[in-house]
Amino acid sequence: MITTQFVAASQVVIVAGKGGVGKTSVAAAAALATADEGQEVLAVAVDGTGALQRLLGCSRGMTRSPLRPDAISVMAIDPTQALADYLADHGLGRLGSRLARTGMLDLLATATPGIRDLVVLGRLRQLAEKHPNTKVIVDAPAAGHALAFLRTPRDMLDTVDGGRLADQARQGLAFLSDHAQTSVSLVTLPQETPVNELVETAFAIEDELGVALGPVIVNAVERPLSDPAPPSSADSATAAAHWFFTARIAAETNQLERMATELPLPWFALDRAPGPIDSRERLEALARSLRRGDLS
Amino acid sequence: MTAARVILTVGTGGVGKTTVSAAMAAAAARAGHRAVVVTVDPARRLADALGVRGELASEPKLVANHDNGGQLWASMLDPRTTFDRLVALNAPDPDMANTMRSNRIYRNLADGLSGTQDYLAVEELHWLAHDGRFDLVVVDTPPSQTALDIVDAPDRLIRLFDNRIYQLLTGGNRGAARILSRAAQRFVKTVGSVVGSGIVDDAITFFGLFEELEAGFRDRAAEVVQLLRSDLATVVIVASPRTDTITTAIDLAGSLTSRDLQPDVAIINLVHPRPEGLDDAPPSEAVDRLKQRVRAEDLAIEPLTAAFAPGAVVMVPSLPGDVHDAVGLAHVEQHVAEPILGHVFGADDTER
Repeated sequence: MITTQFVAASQVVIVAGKGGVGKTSVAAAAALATADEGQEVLAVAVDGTGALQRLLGCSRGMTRSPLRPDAISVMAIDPTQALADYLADHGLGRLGSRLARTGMLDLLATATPGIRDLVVLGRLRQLAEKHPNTKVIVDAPAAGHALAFLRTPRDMLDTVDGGRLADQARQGLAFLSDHAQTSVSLVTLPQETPVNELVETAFAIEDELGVALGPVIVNAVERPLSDPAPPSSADSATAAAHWFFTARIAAETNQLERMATELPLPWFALDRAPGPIDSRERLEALARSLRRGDLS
Repeated sequence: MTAARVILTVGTGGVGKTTVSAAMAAAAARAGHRAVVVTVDPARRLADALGVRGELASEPKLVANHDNGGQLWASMLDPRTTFDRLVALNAPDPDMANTMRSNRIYRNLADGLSGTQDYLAVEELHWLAHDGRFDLVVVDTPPSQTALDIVDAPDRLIRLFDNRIYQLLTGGNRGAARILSRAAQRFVKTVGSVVGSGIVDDAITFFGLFEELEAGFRDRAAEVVQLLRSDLATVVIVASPRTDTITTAIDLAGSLTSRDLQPDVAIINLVHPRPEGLDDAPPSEAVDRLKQRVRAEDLAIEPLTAAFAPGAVVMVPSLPGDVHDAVGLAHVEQHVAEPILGHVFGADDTER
């Protein structure tokens, strides 16, 4: 049962991957699948696009997913707002709110790159502590930013002179490297460049940062044709369609084999959906395949 | 010197924006133009195909030379190099430029402030457009959700140096003088307790230096935006046939248009192939699967086509297998050459 392996290892699962790999769909489907295993789930978006909330059927301001109102809470952490809140809690309350509009937050974020990510990590840690029996599934920041996000506490400790941020960074580091508490599941596509990036990212996360990695989710894998033999005396469109899928399946199989050789991690393939994951029906189907599937 | 024509490529991540940018420049070069493409964080294989890895990647390198005089150049955006050049152009003396470059706030600026990279990509476009070596400059931008970053980044940059914060930090003294008012001292102490005191010192120094540069930055930003709004510029939106990237592309087009930067061409990259006769082909597993995919994609794309009318929407089919990036590039080039060159250089040009 994939879900058990996917989320049982740690309380917080950070779903990460490059832009365009379907990371948000996988995070939303994982929330549904986990809820269907009888778990209370908190789905957290930190990328500010609202995509996770939309997929889980939430309109603005909703905190429970209408798809599983009994089991799934949904929340968004806006990094800039989180920083403003953090400063408010640390004696900059009045100034923080007055200067937010004039760029004070921009200044602080520029002076200390990563401060927003660090504050977001702090919020995640608080949430996990406050809801110890809830699985927290995090849709990580988009596009290449995931590694930077996970690196933040370490980078911060190298650069800040001291002050409360250094404490915050130490706590963030402890939170990320506690394998019982936090793991990262990487999402990729069965294509050369995404697989290359996956392998690089995975080694960086585990070796360099000491963060635990959960199973890799390979999204949008083309299902084999039940009859791979080329159709005899076919019209050109049929031949073209057959050639296209055969070539794609062969190429994807190569990439999956290469991935399995280069990356010693369990992985799980999700079938390519018939179309975009933009409806409840397709999301539920994705969640079902997450529950059904077996790790390779 | 007249400026070259320019193409600004925008879109979200994961849609092959960099490949499309390179393909448009390659098409122009093949048609006899001297074209340069500035890439942002290209995947390794594409960087290899374009020869823009390693040292000096921010200086354009000649990638291909055609018999008809066409040339393809490529470079990789290095925000720091671009930013340093901006400072050098605007600083009253080299010493000041050096002091600025060693300031911590300044060093973090290119990476830290959201939108700065987008703006620096556009600044690079302006710089190369006036370089004289090129007829066409194609600039890929970092993945973005909104056009705000590109057009508003100069304002945001300047807002960052807003006089009120500066006055608060320095007690209203000009230059790098730092006699703090009592209120400012308290503020600085509080900020220092959160982020460390060294950072506050750096910020005060930085503001003093930036004061000297601000006017130059403002003028430059205005020129850059003016170039983007001129007839020399073509704005290209790249999306993939997924509901989410299409929705983002429509929002992006709207926010660009509201800033007088109407996108001219939309490219939907990585669609399934649409072989002739597919609709009439007898049912089979492969045909049915392809039909279903095409139908789903058409549904996803439809809102963009509607929103974009009468602008051009170009579809680029994905290749099924693993292809070497040079082949992938040539494939995309084939599909974008005619519509893009027609738009940028006029309809006759594709015959050249």
